[in-house]
Amino acid sequence: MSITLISALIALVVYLLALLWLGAQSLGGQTGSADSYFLADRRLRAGVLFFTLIATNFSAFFFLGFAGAGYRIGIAYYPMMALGTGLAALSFGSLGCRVRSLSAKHGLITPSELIGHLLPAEGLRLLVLSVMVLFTLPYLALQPLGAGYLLESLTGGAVPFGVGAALLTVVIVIYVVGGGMRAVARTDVLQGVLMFLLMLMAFVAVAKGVGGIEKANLTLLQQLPDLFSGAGLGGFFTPRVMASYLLLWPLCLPMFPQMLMRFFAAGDDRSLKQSMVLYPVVAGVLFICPVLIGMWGHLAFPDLVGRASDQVMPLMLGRYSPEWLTGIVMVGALAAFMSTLDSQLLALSSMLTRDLYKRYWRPQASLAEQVRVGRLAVIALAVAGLVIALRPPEAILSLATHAFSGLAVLFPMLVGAVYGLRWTVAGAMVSVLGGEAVLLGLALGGIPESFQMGYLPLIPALVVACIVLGVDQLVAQWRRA
Amino acid sequence: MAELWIGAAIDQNRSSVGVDLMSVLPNRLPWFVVLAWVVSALVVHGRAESGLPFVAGLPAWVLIFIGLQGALAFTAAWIARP
Repeated sequence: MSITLISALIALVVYLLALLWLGAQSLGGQTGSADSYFLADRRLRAGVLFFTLIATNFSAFFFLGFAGAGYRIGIAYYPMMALGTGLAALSFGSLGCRVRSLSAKHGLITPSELIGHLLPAEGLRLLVLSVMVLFTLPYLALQPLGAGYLLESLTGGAVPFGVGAALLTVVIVIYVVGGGMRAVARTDVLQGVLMFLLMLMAFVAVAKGVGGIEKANLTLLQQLPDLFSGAGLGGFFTPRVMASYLLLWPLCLPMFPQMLMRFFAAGDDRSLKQSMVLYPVVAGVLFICPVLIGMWGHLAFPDLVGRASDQVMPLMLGRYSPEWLTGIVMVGALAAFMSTLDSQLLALSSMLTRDLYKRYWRPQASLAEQVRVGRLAVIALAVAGLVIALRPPEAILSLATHAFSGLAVLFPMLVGAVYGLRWTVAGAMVSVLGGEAVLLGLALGGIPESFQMGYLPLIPALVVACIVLGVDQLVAQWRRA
Repeated sequence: MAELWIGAAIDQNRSSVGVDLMSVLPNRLPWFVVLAWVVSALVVHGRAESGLPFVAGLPAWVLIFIGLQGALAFTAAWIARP
């Protein structure tokens, strides 16, 4: 048994036990209400709120995907991701504070309840619920899928994919069912700290191994100068694609139900604003690490093609870092998978409980009953995610790749409503449906690609959604006049 | 807590037309900052050439982006002031 495998197994066991211990610590202090279970009594403050926002947002893509993109595209991937994420954080102090205030004042728990409060209409509530579930569930299923494969590769096949995915899902279900948002937030702190430290350790080890940042980059500049260009290898980042990505993050991030619910759970505005300030700093420092490691992959592994480049991080660690560190860093990637999955499970379970069960089936459900149903929903969603992960249908994977754009289409309608714009119900619904129809048409080929004009599909979808809302406002003004 | 929740349930079924939202509207400034930074980033990106000088092992245009990121953090701190 190699040192890498031994260190990985020890780190994994310690990490999973720590998660369960933190989950057990969260059992006390719950009042048995829906607020307490789904939103930790709306008391997440400062450090905990910051780490739960970070850990929820940074999936394992941060560990594996960024390095792969650095290998395929080059340094241009870094400013796009870092600046886009930093810009997204600005919503914490504006939209987030307003949403927190509204939700606390009116006892709102889910995004559908928020929109139902701002624009009362059953159809619109159901539409927002459907869009959020439709695009979050496939994304949720990707987490056990990726975690299972990572665990299999980490243990050299000793833990098969299915067993690994099931094991990690079971651990998550135990602490989410037991402790709700309180447990999720506490484990997010551990997972967030692990992600930070392990990524920095990996970077230092690999940078040392390749002879230092300057030497490695100057060598690469001679071999592949396009890795350092603004457009990247293959001219990936045209100005329009870059503009699309820079806008995508600020628009889609606040629309993830698990992120919106962190605004609901925030203890005060100050904590949200502190997170807003720290987020760009952390993204700026951390994101360059995996991208550079991925680029340096060309020095040691020049022949990786396509998706094989997503393996560049473990390959580089295996080549340049101490054996014990490779296994531990990959546990950090597992932490990133799990911290996203637990938040998605809790957010979707709250929506199914409050927006379907309580609203349409048992309006008289007590708070304790809602918590019980919420726990059952966590288990049901975890099983559904696992089943999809074990045998992923093509359509589900395709939906997951469009999750960010699909959710961002909600942005103009929902944020406009939060800012006091009084859309008509029809206008709000047509805006969302129109935007989603454009995305669907472009994905299926029903709308010609020229309609995108070189931008990502999100941009024409947003333009259509905004035009509908603009017309809605004009008609409303005309009627009033 | 139960009373609060019941109040919310009733409130969700009530029209919010006429509710004075203007006095408690969130800050619009961050969205203007987003637009300003996207435009600045595109200007820098448009001038990014692989032949630009390297400083501390990184292309100058990436360092300008890092400067933009730092300025963004300062702007966020300014927006977040009490």
